[in-house]
Order: sequence, then structure tokens, then C-alpha cells
Amino acid sequence: MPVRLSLALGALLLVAALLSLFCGQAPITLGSFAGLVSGSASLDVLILSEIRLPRLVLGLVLGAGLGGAGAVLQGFLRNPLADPGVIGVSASAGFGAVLALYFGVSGLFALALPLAGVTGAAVGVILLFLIAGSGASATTLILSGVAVNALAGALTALMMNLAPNPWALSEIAYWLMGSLKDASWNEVLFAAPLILAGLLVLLSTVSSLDALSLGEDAARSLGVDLRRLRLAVVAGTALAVGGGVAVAGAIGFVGLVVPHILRPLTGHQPGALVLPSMLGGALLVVLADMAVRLMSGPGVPLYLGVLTALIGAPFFLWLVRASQRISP
Amino acid sequence: MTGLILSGLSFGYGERRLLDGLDLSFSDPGLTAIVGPNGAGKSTCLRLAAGLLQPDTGSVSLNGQALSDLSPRDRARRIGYLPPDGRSAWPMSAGAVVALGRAPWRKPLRQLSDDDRAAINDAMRQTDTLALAERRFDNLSSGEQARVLIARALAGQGEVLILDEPTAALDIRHQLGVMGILSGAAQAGRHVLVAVHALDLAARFADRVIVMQSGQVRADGPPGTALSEDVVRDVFGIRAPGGIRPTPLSAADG
Repeated sequence: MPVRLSLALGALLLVAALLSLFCGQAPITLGSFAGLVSGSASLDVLILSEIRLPRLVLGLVLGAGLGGAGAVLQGFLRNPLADPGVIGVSASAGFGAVLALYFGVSGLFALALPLAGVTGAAVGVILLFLIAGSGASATTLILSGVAVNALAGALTALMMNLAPNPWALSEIAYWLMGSLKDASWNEVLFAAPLILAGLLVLLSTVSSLDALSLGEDAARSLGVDLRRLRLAVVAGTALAVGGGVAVAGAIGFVGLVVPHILRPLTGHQPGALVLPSMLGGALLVVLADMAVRLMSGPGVPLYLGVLTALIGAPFFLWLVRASQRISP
Repeated sequence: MTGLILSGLSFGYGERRLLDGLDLSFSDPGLTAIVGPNGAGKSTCLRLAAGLLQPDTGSVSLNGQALSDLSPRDRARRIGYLPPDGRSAWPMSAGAVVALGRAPWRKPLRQLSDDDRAAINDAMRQTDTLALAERRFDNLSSGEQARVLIARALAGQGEVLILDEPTAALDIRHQLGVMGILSGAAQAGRHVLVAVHALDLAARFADRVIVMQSGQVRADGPPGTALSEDVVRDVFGIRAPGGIRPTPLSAADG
């Protein structure tokens, strides 16, 4: 069944991806695609190849990273409320980027901002391991993640507090909201390899996640090496989510909601949920980014992270209510 | 040396010694019940025997091979372990729970093989759970859940099966059912080690009973000698004239 689900999601994703290329202020026609192949340099072809396509590709990999990391974390922590924010990766990547914005390093060279974001994610993960220790249980890991999250959040607030002028403050604030609007091939080439590597690491945890459903002792008795699994989960999440946050800011709720929607369709098996959640995450981000472009008028654009949170929060509430009705 | 050998096992947390120089050997297949008051070290002993804990000193070997030399996967193929808290974090189907027992045998990202299916089917038949396969695990009764979890452990087809209080939450009828299943598995040629609280169950089903007290083996032998009047009085503080003997019980409708 997960195979059919993945195929269906893949087909939807293809349709959404094609539609999203037509979405935006400048009109794109089928002729623009022909121009893309023949190497024409007209405006619509340039918009397609230098703006729409990198934005689409970045949305796809970033969404896959968020959805996949959410599914793996929920399986690993055996908690349907877990998401990439739980272990502090998003917040520490955000703090790294804010630090770069604050000190103006971000203007020095093109990839300074994402580089700072990824460094922040890596430091956050190292800190997580230092606090939790090498033999940490899932609960210790969550608590340590909460600590890292709070620390990164506090430091981010400090940077905003110390911002020298309103313009610097607004730059930080807008960046934190999360958006794909500045995506270019530079960002894609930087983030995609990181996220794809993270996705591979996350996929390697699939069978261990299933065994973990029955508890840590049962999983170990089934041959799961918990230390290695924990390392794979945290490193995979750091790459898959940190890489995305570093180029596009924090986009919330995707990692939480997507596995939730798809779980009943995979027989509630945590391992079978991972690949569909990657596809579903990509689909949700591409759709949301389309919506953002359609809804944004001239002036300040609507930010992707704002939209996902606006849709995600009430939807999540509804999910919680619905699941209460099914099983008390 | 064939079978499962525990030699000179010591284990503790900090200053507190839970086990001190424990020696046990299980050379012939059979059902061994481990009994003792709470805190006697039964669970620790079983987790060490399953290779889930590393002893401070001493070693556990299976057919002459130290468990610490086996990869987690190889160990899992040979030793099945059922922890005391039998719950599933997700509302999976009972069939999916049993299939987890095949984890040590499965290749990554592959469907179940014919061998896997045969082992799962076998384990579910032995535990009379085939009819429950499509039901949600969390909607089953405690007795049904216990049988499904035992099927999960049996599906691994290890030569050693270690169960920590599989009968804890069950009524007497289901206790008899579960012990009957384990007895069958032992007769099929496995080493079955089971911790139980009900001395009556141990006396009725076990080929061998090990009585533990404060991290030491207090008595070890056939139920008749291990659960003698003296041992039961010293270890449990209970008077049992003539020792513990099984009351003649059987299912009224079977």
C-alpha cells in the first residue's frame, strides 16, 4: 500500500510542480519551455529558468526534507507531536543566519547567509549531543532539544533586541518568517546536496523505526543499534532541515502535519511513513508557495512560513480533535 | 559448550550490586521459570542473558560464542526477547506487530520473503492469533495482546527465547494459555527462559525452576525440589506445606 501511496503522491507532485511554473506575475507560456530547450534569451525564458525553476526545485527538496525529518522524528521519539523544531535544529540554524545578518557578514559573499545557517544547525546538534550524552533515551533527547531550542530562541531574540536600527530588525524578522522568494540556482546548489544527503540518511533508519514501535528494549532485541540510529536520526535531520532553514528561513508545521495526514494511509507503521512524508512535504511546500505567489499583491509579499503556520495550526487542532473522536 | 552459559556475571548501578557472581547454564532445551521476590534480579538476569545489558564482569555465551562478539543483528537472530511492558507506540495491525519479529532477518527496503511469511504464519498459528491479524493491536484485549507479542518473539525463530513476565496482566485462564504456548515452544527444541511471579505456574509448566533472592541463585532444579517448603518460606516468607505443587486445573470447555 505505501508503494501505491508514494506513486499517487509522486503523480500529484508532478502536476503541482508543472502548475507552479506558470504561477506568478509574469506570464509564462508553453513557448517559454520551448525557448528553454533552444536556449533563447527572451524575458519569459529567463524568468522561467532563473527564477521559477530554482524556486520550484528549492521548494521540492526543502519540503521533502521537512516532511521526511518530521516522519522520522515522530517514529524515533514515538510521539506524534514531534517535529524538526523539537530537537532544536530549526532554531539553531535560524540563529546562525540571524548572527550573519546582524554582523553584516551576509553581504560579504553570496552564500555567507546559508553557510552561517548550516553552521548554526551543526553547532546546535553538537550541543544537543553534549547535553544529552551518548546513551540518551528518547525522552532525554527531547528535553535536551527543548533546551537547545530555548537557548537558540533566546539568542535570536537578543540579536533582534540589539539590532542597531529598525531596518536591520525588519531584515532579521522577515528572514525568520521563511520564504522561497530569493531562491536562485546558487541557493539550490548549496542546499540541495545537503538536503539530499540528509534524506538518504533518514531513509536508512526506516526498518529500525518500525522495530522501535515496541520500545527501546524490544528494538535492541530485534537487532537495532540504538546509538547508530540516534546518530542517523539527528544527523539526517540536521542536514535535511538545517540545509533548508539556512537558505529559506524557518517554515513551520510541514514536518508536523504531513506525517499526521499520511499516517493512517500507511497502516500506522512509522517506517512506511517516511518516503510518503518526503513526497507529501514537497507537495505541501510547492502548493503553499504557489498560493503565496497568487495571494501576494504589490508591496510586501506574503511569507511562506507565515502561510504554512496559518494553515497548519488550525488544521493541526482539527486533527487532534478528530483523533480524539476515533480512539478515546 | 552448547547452550546458553552465564558465567560469573556481576552487574550494578554505581555502588548498588544487583547481581554478584551469577553462574547459570542452560545446556538442554526446555522451559525454565525464574522466580523470586520483586528486586531479586530476575529482570537484570534476563536482560544480561539476552545481551541487552553488558555485565560489569563475567560473560554470556551461546554455543561457545560470547554474545559480546556477535553483531546486534546476529544476536537478534538467535535470541528472542520480550520486555515486560508490552505496548505498541502506534495503532498498527496485530499482523504488522508479529511481522516486526522478522526484523533481524529482513533486508533493507524489501518486502517480506517467503521464509518470513512462513515464520509469521507459524508463530501466529502456535499462539492462536491468525484470526486477529487484521485487528488493531491497541483494540485487542490484554490476553490477545500478550499472545500477539509472544507470536512476535516466536517469529524471530531464535534458539533462545527470553520473556520477562509475559503473564503479569493476565487472568488465570490466559496465564495457562500463555504458559502452554511457551511449553510447546520448549518442546520444539528451544531454550525458553521466563520470569513469572505465580509460583503455581512455574510448578505446573517448567522443566526447571530457578529461585532468585538478592541477586543470588537460592535454588535451582526441577519444580519439586526448587520450590520446596523451606525455599518458599526463606525466600518469599510464605508457608507452603509440602512445597508448591500445581493445583489440578484445566479449561472447563477444553
